[in-house]
Amino acid sequence: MRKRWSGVLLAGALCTFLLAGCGGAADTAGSTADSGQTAAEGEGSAAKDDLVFVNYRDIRDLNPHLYAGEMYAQEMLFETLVNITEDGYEGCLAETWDISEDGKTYTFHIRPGVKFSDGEVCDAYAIKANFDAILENKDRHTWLEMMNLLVGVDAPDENTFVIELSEPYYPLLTELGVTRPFAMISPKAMKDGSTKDGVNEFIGTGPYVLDEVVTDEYAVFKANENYWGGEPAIKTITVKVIPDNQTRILALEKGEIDLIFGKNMIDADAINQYKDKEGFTVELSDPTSTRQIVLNTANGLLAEKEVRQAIQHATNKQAISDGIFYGLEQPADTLFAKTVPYCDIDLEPYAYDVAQAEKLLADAGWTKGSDGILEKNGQKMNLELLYNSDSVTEKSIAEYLQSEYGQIGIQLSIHGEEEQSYRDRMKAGDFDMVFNICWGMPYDPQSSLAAMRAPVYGDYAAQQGLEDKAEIDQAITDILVSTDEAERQELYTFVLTRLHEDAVYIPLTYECNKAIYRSDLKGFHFMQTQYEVPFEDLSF
Amino acid sequence: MLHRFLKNKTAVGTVALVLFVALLGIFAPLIAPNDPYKTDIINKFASPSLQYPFGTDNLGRCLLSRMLYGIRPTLGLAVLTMLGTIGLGALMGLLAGYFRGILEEIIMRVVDVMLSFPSQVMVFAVVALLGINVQNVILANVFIKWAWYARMIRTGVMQYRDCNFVRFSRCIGTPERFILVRHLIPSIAADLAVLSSLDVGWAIINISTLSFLGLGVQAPTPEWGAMLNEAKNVLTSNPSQMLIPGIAIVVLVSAFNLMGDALRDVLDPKEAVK
Repeated sequence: MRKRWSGVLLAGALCTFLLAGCGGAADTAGSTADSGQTAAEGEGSAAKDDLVFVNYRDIRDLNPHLYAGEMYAQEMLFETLVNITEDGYEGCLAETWDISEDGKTYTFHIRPGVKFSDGEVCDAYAIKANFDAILENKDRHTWLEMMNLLVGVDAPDENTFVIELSEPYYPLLTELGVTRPFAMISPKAMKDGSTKDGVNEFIGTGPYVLDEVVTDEYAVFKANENYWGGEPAIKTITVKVIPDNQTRILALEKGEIDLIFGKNMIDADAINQYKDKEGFTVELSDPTSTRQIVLNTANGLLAEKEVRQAIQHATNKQAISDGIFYGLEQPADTLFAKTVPYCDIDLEPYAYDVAQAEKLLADAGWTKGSDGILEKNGQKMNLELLYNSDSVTEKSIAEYLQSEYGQIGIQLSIHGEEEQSYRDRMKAGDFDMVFNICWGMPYDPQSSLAAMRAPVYGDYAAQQGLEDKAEIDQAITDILVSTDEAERQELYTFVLTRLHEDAVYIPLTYECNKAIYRSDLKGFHFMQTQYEVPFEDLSF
Repeated sequence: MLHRFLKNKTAVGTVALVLFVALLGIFAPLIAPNDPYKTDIINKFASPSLQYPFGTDNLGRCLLSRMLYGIRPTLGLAVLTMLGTIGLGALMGLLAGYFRGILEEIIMRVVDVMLSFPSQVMVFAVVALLGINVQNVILANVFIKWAWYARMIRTGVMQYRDCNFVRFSRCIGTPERFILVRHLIPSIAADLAVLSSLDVGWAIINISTLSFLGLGVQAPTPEWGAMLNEAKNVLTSNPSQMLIPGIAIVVLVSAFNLMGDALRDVLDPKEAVK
């Protein structure tokens, strides 16, 4: 007997030891970071030229004409005709361009001397080959209205590329400037001039070339020595795959990675923790897009407008902003922020008002059953909220809403799935409620709205239950081809007002891009689109 | 026997601890200081205070209350799993050990097949096939683990089936059912008790593991493994949220394992001679 008890004591002692070890480990982690810092400073003279970046998933298929790859990686390898900057459009592969008087013909003057990283020349003929490959797969790009308006593309000589449209279309340059699908891949890398079934190699004209990939572990990018814009300062970029938030932060602390970047890669607690920490810098961008929940109007209970409105009133955005984001993300009132073009319109936000929510539900005939859950005609108010388990904050918001809605008798079951299956379910309309984003600059509002007319994200499926869906879609189509500024504004106002009144979207907060990096990394800034990382401008 | 039990400090200590925990779970609504589901997002990660003795979690829910309510799924499901496993395992073991012949061949070959798979992987496979919810987790655990018990119990039964009292019973024409229920089950009861207390420990770990991975008990139910999962996201910023359910699982599982050990001592007649 005695022996056994001493065994228990020993186990107890071991446990204590382990716990003490845990505490100790945190301290040592801190000091390693410090020493890592000094080591880095020591190397300063030798100028560190490699950067370790992190992402929660693999870079996957980087085919620039499709949508499966990580956008930051596509931006590193491939370039488009124009770039979108804060002050408008800027030449990229096209040096300059002319737009005909009637707005239907765009003539691009291609930058001479640009070569793909395999040595192929990137002239108008190569660009034509790319357009042909993209157009072959037209159905995949329905969110781009220009696909419907395109008459033809042509390369009359090696320096000139012409796009002809059937109607003047104002967002054309934006659509050409976004990451995909109008990015140029070497014609040699295509499979018989086609890219829709995959490509042989990821060869572009961009500042980096893809060197090595180990699926779900890491990818290595090397600087493109022949880049027309000058070789970037960081010569090697390694992207590690670390799916777990805490592991990422510990890796940063230990010096294994140099930069964490993204909207859903860092939670507010980590931001607060690193804000005043020596050796690390925290940056937050201006609001980029709206974090929102989409209600599926085609799905039973939510077809009732009163129910949707009640849910709107039962959502405490201020508490989400303060509690989950410590005020880093401001509460959102409308689908698009007022700073988004054409969206500064007068809409009355759904105020947080539980009494109002309960009244709406009661008026619609919902009564609380013995178990505290609302019911009507024997049907229980039971909804499912789908969230992306790769996002660091969606689960917390979901759990919070679950408890909040529970108090007024709406039973919310929450369900997390990893990004890809979450997207697939969204697209298929297989959800009651789902977390969604609008796309941010430069897609908002025209591309986000255009995409509501086809199954791109969850919007199309979610709006199927709206009586005025056809009317809204028509208005969106009209917006895209409208030439008159006043008329365009009027149509935007119509669409946004309808969507707001139909209570399809619950805006939560205006999300912002977040980054934590080693303080000796220079040149960091946020890009025009929220998906790009400014690798070219970084240096140590 | 009671005397031997009382003399064995480990047995008394662990049984008392387990009973205490079970009572805490049963009377959780009376003891818990707060509603375990009530979020107070502004007050998240609160330090321990009178109102929140263990502080609050990432949604501002009272940790102590969640721990107390968490006993119900944690311990309840584990006991349920244990009953299922032992029940099925004992039945199969009895049939195989007593009737022998073709029946034994069939059962034991199935057992062999079952045992040749790593159990955790099989549990994942079953849960993945049936879908994620609590019933399926229990089913999966029972389905995977019964084979192990069937084999143990069969060995126990074979020891007794040729004992004189069983043979005598058979000679005078007692029905098989009577022999099984009245002679064999009591004979292997000691083994069963030890096995089952060890099994509860295993089941707690297993259900917690599945919940931790998001395959078992779903949010917001406060199961200890699921609580660990929630704490994982705030590992660096609020470690105490992880330590509390973690330590609780370690202590409870150790208690069950020590209890199994001690029960063996208590129930083993040879120990008494010493």
